[in-house]
Amino acid sequence: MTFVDTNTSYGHWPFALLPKQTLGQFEAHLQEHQIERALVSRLETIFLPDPDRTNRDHIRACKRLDNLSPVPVLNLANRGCLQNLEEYRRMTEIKAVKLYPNFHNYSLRSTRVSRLTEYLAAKEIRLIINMRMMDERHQYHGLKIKGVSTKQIISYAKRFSEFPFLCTGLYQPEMLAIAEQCPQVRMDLSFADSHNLINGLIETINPEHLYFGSHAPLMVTKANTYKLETASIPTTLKIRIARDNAKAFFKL
Amino acid sequence: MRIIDCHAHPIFFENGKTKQEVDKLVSYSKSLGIEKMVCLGDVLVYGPNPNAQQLRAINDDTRQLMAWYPDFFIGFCYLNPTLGEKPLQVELELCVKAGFRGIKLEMSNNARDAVMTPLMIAAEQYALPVLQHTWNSLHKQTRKINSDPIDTCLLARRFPNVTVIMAHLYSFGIRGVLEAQNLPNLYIDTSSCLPFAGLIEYAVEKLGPNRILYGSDIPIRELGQCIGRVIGSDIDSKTKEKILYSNAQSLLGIA
Repeated sequence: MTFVDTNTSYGHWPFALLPKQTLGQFEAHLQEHQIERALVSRLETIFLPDPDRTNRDHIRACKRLDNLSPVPVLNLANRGCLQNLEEYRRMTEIKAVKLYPNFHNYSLRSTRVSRLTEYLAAKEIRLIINMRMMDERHQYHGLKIKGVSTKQIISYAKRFSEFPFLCTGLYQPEMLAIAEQCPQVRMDLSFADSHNLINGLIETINPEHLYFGSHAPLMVTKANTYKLETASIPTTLKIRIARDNAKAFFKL
Repeated sequence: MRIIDCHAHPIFFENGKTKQEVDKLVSYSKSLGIEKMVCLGDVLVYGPNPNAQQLRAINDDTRQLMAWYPDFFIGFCYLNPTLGEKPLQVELELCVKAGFRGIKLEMSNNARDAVMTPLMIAAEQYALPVLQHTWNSLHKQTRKINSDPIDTCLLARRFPNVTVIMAHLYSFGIRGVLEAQNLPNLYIDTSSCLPFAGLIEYAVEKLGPNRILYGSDIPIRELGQCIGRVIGSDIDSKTKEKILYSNAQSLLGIA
């Protein structure tokens, strides 16, 4: 079974013991785990007040690699993000952009989020909202950032009910709470975990809205591929979640 | 791939009790290579401080699982040290007679408390390992009942003739691994939480390959994810085999 990975990052995370890799090595690592295509953002963009230069470097670096689709990170606390995005689109085909509202300290209720949503809808670019990078209970004390609240996601999704988007890093109860109220929201499985997980999720969530996400390199890649490979669900459903749902949504 | 799961709660908040549910779990586990599973009991069903009758009910459930699948389930006797020496002795004796092979402690008290002494003396007499729930609790109110790795390691230091299993690597993390150094009677398990990268490699580097046990914490966690975090870690295959199987095999005296 092969995977399309909707939740990967490349770069340095100062709070974990991870091996240093080139982007090419990272791509090879994903391929070793049968990840045929990955949406990749740069980790450093989370900590930079202006991620623009890092996004451009990342787009250029991804051009040399066939299986990585760069996902620029927009800091909507800053003016000028849409102009930056226009520039990224001139550099390459942008399938999606990513937001980290809690790291960059803005609300999904802001006018800039509304403008971005309208822009993305018009240009048929997908939006990824990241809820969290770590389990809040075990964050290093030097970096404690709360996850985006489900209330914010639900409120945003209801305001733009015709606009489907992907949330990454949701816990299982959050997935169920959001899906009940906002059927257009797509979700990755990286932070969802319990025995018989997927059978439990699909009682509430449309299986076409579940996507594979490894959260590599912060999580052990094999942990998330194996979670899906060993799930007690039909193979056809596994393949949809592993690959086909994301392929269709992101037009990969 | 052969696996012994050292940390499981096949019955959890009364779910998973029926023969049909147990059959399904055993069959699924075996399909993943799990040959044996340590059953720690439905430890939170009566809250953190169960009385003697409640402990008996929980251990009876474990006994039932062992009766249904004697070659698969290994029972650990769930105890509450705060109940005092006599009830503890009575329950432990019953469990030992029924073939239980270890003691499970959850959150009724902190591992550094004086009430631990009779229990640890009994553990030494019966030569049983003590698996202590351990959570990163430094500077937290919950430390009264949630043993921090400092507390669990202190327990192991105070009772060097008792094997202590410090549960939940992914909660106690790097700080816990460092505490666990130079304690040959202390093992750690890989159970619980999410599979963040680098921790198993770090534990192997600091503790060596012989004191790390695979555990899942099922049903709170998905078995595939828990196994994947070990087989996907950047350590040699012999060390993976030790963590997944042979360390527990030796510790629990499995032929």
